[in-house]
Amino acid sequence: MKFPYSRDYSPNAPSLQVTFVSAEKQLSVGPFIALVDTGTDVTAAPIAYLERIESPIARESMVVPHWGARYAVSLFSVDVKIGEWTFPGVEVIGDTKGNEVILGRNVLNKLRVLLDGPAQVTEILEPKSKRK
Amino acid sequence: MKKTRETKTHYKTSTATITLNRELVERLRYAAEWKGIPFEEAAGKAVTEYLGRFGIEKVRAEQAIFEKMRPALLEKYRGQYVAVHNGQVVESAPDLRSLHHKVFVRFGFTPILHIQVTDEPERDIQTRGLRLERSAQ
Repeated sequence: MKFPYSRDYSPNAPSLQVTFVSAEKQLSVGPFIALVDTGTDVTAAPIAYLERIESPIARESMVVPHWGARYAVSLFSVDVKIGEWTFPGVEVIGDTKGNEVILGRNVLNKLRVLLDGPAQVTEILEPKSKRK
Repeated sequence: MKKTRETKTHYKTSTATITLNRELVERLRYAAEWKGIPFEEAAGKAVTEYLGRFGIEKVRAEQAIFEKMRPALLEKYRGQYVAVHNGQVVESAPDLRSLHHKVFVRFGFTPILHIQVTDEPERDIQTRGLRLERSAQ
């Protein structure tokens, strides 16, 4: 499964298409273009998206930006769908400051991803167990 | 004496009639008009926003209690996810999704802390990405 790099960033950035699902409410929101960001611990989405599917709040935490003061955030429990894969019960930050969807390592570490910079394509590879 | 207006709210099968004071009704009507949305929608949004803030407040309080309980919980729940409600562990599960399902079945929309029981205190979330702001063309 291949996704073109996003042109919303300069230089263009690896991205994937994600949908957020609230299984209990049978509501979903998306798909959205999400930045592939290995420097971020936890996936984040604008809080309005998570509220739209009535995701339950799971816990609170603090975010430490590279520069600037740390601030409190709420983490919500949602299912994250990327192409044919669904990752149930993922903690997603409800971002009150930005309007980007950012895929952090709590999701990326479940995937085999190829960043093909010259071709400007992000490819999700088959899980190792499925390979022939 | 302030005049009041009754407002009926509907949610699926449950209905509640609430009484708002006149000033609040006027402020809400103004907000609805300014936003270009029906009065009922504005009322619904206001309540939803309040409940969102309440959820954060409650979960934060439960988390403080959880931190005190953490050493005691390790023996029974190490590595598991637990739901903490009114200072008590009310459910546990091996993963967040299963826990969420159990809690939803029992408690519906009540905001309840969902957290993993580990040895380590909660770490701050790091964001290391640096962005160059695009200059205006």
